[in-house]
Amino acid sequence: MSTAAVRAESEPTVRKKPPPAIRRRRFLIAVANHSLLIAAAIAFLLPFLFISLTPLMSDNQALSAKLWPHPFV
Amino acid sequence: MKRFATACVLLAATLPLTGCFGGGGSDKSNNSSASTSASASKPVTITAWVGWSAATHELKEFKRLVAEYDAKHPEVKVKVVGDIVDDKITAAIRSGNVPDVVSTFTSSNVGTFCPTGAWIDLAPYLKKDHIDMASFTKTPLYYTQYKGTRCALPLLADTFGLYYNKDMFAKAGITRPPRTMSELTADAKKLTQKNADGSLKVVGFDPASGFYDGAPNKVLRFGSLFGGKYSDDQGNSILATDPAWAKELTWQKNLVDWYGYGKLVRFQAGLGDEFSASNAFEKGKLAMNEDGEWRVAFIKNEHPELNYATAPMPVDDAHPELYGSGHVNGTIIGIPKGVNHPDQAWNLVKYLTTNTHFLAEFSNAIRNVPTTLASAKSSEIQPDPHFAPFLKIIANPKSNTAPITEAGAAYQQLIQDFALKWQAGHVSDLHAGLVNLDKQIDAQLKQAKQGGAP
Amino acid sequence: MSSAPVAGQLGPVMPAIDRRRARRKAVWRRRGLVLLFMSPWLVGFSVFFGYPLVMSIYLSFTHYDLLSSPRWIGLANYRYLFGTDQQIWPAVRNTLWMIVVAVPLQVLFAFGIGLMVSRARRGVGFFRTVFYLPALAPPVAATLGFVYILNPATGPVNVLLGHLGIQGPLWFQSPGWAKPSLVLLAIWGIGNTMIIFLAAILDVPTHLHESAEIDGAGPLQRLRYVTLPSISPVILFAVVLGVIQGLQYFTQAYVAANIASGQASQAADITNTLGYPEGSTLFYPILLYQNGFRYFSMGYAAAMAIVLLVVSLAVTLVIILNSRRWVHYTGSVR
Repeated sequence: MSTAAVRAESEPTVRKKPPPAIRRRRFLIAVANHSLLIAAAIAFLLPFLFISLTPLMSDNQALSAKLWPHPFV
Repeated sequence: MKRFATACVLLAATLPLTGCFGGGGSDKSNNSSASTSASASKPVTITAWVGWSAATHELKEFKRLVAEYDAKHPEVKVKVVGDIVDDKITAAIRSGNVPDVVSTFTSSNVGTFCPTGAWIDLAPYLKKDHIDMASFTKTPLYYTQYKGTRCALPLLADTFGLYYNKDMFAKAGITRPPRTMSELTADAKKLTQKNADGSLKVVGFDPASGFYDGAPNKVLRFGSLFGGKYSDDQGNSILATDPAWAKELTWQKNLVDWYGYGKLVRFQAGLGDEFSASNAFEKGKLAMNEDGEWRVAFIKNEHPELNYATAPMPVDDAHPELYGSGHVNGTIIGIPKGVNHPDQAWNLVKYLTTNTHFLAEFSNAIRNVPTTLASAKSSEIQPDPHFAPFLKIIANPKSNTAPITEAGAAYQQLIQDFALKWQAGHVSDLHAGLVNLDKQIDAQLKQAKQGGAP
Repeated sequence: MSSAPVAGQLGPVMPAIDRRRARRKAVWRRRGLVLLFMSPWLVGFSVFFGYPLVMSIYLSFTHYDLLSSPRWIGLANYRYLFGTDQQIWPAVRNTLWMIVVAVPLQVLFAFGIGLMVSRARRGVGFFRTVFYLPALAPPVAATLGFVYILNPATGPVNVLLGHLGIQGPLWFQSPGWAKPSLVLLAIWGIGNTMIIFLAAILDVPTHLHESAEIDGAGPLQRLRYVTLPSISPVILFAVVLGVIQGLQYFTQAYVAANIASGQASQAADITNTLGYPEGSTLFYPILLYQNGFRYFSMGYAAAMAIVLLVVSLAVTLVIILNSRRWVHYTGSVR
């Protein structure tokens, strides 16, 4: 019930911004993290992509090395 | 309370013991004679399980011809189920819920079906209907019985020959099909085409084990062409002592190495499935191929435009007298233990294996070789220049088949494993490897006889 | 015969012996109720676990070809297994290889991806979904897909490598690359483990991280001294599960061997292509299946199964006993 506590309640808490060096480092780490994640996500999704494209190919083409169905059956 | 709960759990775990000795393996013989009453107003339905697949033309043709039997016999109705494999047959016999007639392509399993009584002994039926065993062609009679117990009959046979692409032959200037192994090798090399980057485009002849391989496998089939014998009089495996096998394996590996093992594997990986319309020979990716006589019907259905011809397989240069013979195998048919309608089942089996009209028509349809002398000479057989060599091969007295043992097809698997290792170059001493293989096969057979594992 | 009335008791007074009988009846009634509630589980346990286990032990001492009654042969199956059968030790080696290589890699990838996802700022839901999706693919379909993707001649992987100037290996067609290809397939399907790791990483108390940071620990040190010990129970769980799955590895190897050998059609059941190529994918459970269902020797297969059970128990016991050194259970008393 002290005045200090009342003052603390009425003022909004202000977060101090970390120094720019720290902010830059954190940003770079986040970029690296996200790039790795995106690369891994692509690698995980590619088999699904291939499996869904194969039924759209003709029999001949499925056995060949071409990757995109042509013509689009 | 805790002790009570523990007692409950222990009781639950030991309850199974009561079912233990009553269950597994008990013979449920329900050979009910009540079902043979011919006075039934409703036709008796019998089920026939066959190996032919709905994915090919073969099952359709079988069903069409069985419908003729149905029409002639109004008291029975035959239900045909295709795509059956040995695992299903064994599971059905074990459960006691069996069809009336079973058929399979794996003739080597008579070594298990006959002695265990899984397929019933047909001798009493054959005697009752006065069937003369001499009316069947010789070799199929061997793979439908085991040690005198005849539990199966042959239903059309298979034999293997050489298919070659006539257009490619003409382009390479080859005038007649090869008759010896050295001619085969030379022609294969001449007919092979490569891509710009060195990979294989068309292969003259692919002898590799494991490629479009079947049962019996290539080693066994080519072995007959070199005059190889499997066992001596005591029944011991003689793959190491009979020089034909080493010669055959060396020839196979030399040709594979000429293509380059890695290149050949890469080429094979890009080929279509053997029993599809993308079959490599049918698509012109192989100039020559060793295949069964059924391929004639497949080509007619899938690629009638293919300009090809057939001939007996070439043989070892040292054994020219073997030319014209080949490896024989085939479909077998029998009646499983615990059958519901044995008499009707036998009537169907008798029709399917001895009726000349059926055998001739079915042979025309799926281009398998007739297994009775009468059907082989029947006027109903539609002559086909592609099919004619195979009829001669089965009549050749030097044609043979793989031995049947109690271990079933297990020894063939050992041979195949060894051949694949040898072909890849992972066997340094061929003779030592074959000696070890003989030892393995003998040990396996000994275990199967004694009652341990094969 | 009536005992002295007990203070405060209303109604008729019961003799001591009747009281005991009544209490016993009540106890048995309660036990009956317990048994009734436990019965579904008891029935399920004995039918699906107890009975097969006891039968397997019994069959392992018999010669049983599925078509005639089992014939008692004593220890002959075990003697053949440990002595004469030349196919057993390659199968054991293959299974051990799978466990030693695949399990650490799976745990590593699951942990690594879980860590990265936990640090992600945006699109966490998207990444979680993408990495979990392959775990939902049916094993047979996934294996089929991978065999075609890794086709040495026409598969996209080798085609892409070819564009980069590298000649791709033979993948499922080469005995040296067949097992690594299966490991790739296993890593593709780590979604389950990854989710569990993610949850565990997010569960690490932030105050531990903060106090470590205040004490001057860098991110790597925090990983080593805060994160890893906190999630060590999950690592133990993943390792034990991975080892048990490795000991039972069957479906993917079976499908891959059949497809890769080009015998996927009706010829497949006539020939036996298990272990293609050259026995490199012949794992212990596959050999067991081959012996039981292709060679008609169910007794021997049962013996193999019992040996596998004993080995699995032993390995799991070793891992768990060893875990006391490095697993920290936060909160609960150990």
